Amino acid sequence: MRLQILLITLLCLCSAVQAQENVSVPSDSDLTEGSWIGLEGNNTIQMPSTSFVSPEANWTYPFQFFPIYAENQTISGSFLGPADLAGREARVFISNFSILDLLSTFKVPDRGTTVAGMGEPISLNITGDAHFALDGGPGGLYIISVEDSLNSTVLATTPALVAKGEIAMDFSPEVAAGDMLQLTIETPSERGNESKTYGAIMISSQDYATARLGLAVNDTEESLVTTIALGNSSMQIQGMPGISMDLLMKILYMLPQNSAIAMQESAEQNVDLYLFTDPSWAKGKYILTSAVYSPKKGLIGLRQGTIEVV
Amino acid sequence: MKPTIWFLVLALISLASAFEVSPANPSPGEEIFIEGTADPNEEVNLRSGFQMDLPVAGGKYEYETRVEIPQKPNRFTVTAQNVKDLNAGVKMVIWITKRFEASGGVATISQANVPPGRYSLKMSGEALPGASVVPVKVIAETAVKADSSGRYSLAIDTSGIPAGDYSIEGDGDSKTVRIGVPAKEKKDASMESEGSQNSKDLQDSKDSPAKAPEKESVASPKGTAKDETVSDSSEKSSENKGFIGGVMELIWGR
Repeated sequence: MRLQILLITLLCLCSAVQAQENVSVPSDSDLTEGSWIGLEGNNTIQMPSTSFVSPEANWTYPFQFFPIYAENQTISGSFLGPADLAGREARVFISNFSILDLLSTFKVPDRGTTVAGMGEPISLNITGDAHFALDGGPGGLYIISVEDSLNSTVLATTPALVAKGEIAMDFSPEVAAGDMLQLTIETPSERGNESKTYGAIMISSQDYATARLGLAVNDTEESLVTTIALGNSSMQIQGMPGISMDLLMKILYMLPQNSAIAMQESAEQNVDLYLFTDPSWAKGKYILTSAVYSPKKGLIGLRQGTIEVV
Repeated sequence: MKPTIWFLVLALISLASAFEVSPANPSPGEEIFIEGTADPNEEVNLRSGFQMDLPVAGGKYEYETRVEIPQKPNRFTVTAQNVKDLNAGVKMVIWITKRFEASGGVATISQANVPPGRYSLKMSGEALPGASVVPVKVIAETAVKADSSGRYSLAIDTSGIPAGDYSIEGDGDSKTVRIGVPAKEKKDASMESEGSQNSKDLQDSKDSPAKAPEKESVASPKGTAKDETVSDSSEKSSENKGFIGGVMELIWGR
């Protein structure tokens, strides 16, 4: 999978999804009444507003940031359950990611892909919440699910992304509109000399905040409609989303003109990327997201920062 | 076979593969027309290019231009010397930049089948220590199909090609036109027809490098086939998805 496709995949898939089975789903994003998993981490990316519509539910994911973990880094977070679960025992599982598990949100994730044995037991407090910490694993995309220990009901699920390591970004805190931004990306030291793809995208914070992801589904995969929106532009994908150049092109056209993309293939550990801006760019805060991808090793790292265009 | 007959045969072969270029000394922005003959329905490969010296300031070089890409098949190659790296940016709705590391002071970008259209381009990078100029060589290759009578034509938009020599090769022939020569010099200048042995002009010629033009330049052939058109990439239309896709392939590779 190429980096650019991966980035789009992340945009589409890094939407935490609440899974419910025999549990009422709130019709809003009320944290006190819903069943949510909030992951914690130091390296986070800003999430688009994510909504989910099904015959049983209509809600918007309430969290703004999504953590990116490094290999073997502890995955920690909180389960925020409804008060009527107070005092119950639950288990937290980590499973290999499956698009079917993600989209079939009312089914138990395939236990055959569970990578953490019988799950980590947690005790829900008087408000139905609990904190958890899971041992980290190799890089990949996973699903964290919380199940009621009594009846194996899935209370909530969320994807978790584990990169090979952490990358660092170095760039000037501000750039004049029309100037070129130099961005240095540093990857973890490693053996070998294999080529990696370094990529970065810069988009205004104001525009980034308008990003929305909607998933609407009835009973079958074929009924799934994915809506990706940015500002006044939006596009819909009918059925299971296929990662394709065509999809990438459509998303690219949705990007506002004051955006920039840069990339490079290199075997070096430190790489400079240059992003061009135009004098017409609106001044203000911009979101700078960079990623490094290895065809052999997968996602090396993903990091996000902000920069001021002056 | 008598020598006279040999001469006639050679002359006919020469005629069959020759092309003419007009005008001989175009002004910047003036179109160059190439007309030639080949075998009926033959595909003739044409290669054109120019060199320019980009000044180095503060250890860096920069160049901005607009290029018009002709129809496929095509191939564009940009080579920069005396450099540590080359950043090539294409503006297609947004700026997309790809950085190339130099090897031995030379950075090269080469891409085939670039979608037709008009592009804003930026080149920039870091020069080798001590370098005062960065020689940049741009080569455009395309193919023209001759009609049923063996005739073919090609139009080259020179509105951005820097003043200086512009070389064209094809089918065993090679010609050089001089762009932007003042009127007085134009009178004396003549188009050279140098034969295939001079085809190295496009490969390693270092004479008469052009100075980098001001911004807003165009430097590539267009409309090579008679019935082909060049699309306008500035419009956001569904037809341009192929264009965009191609540009992405150009920048990102496959």
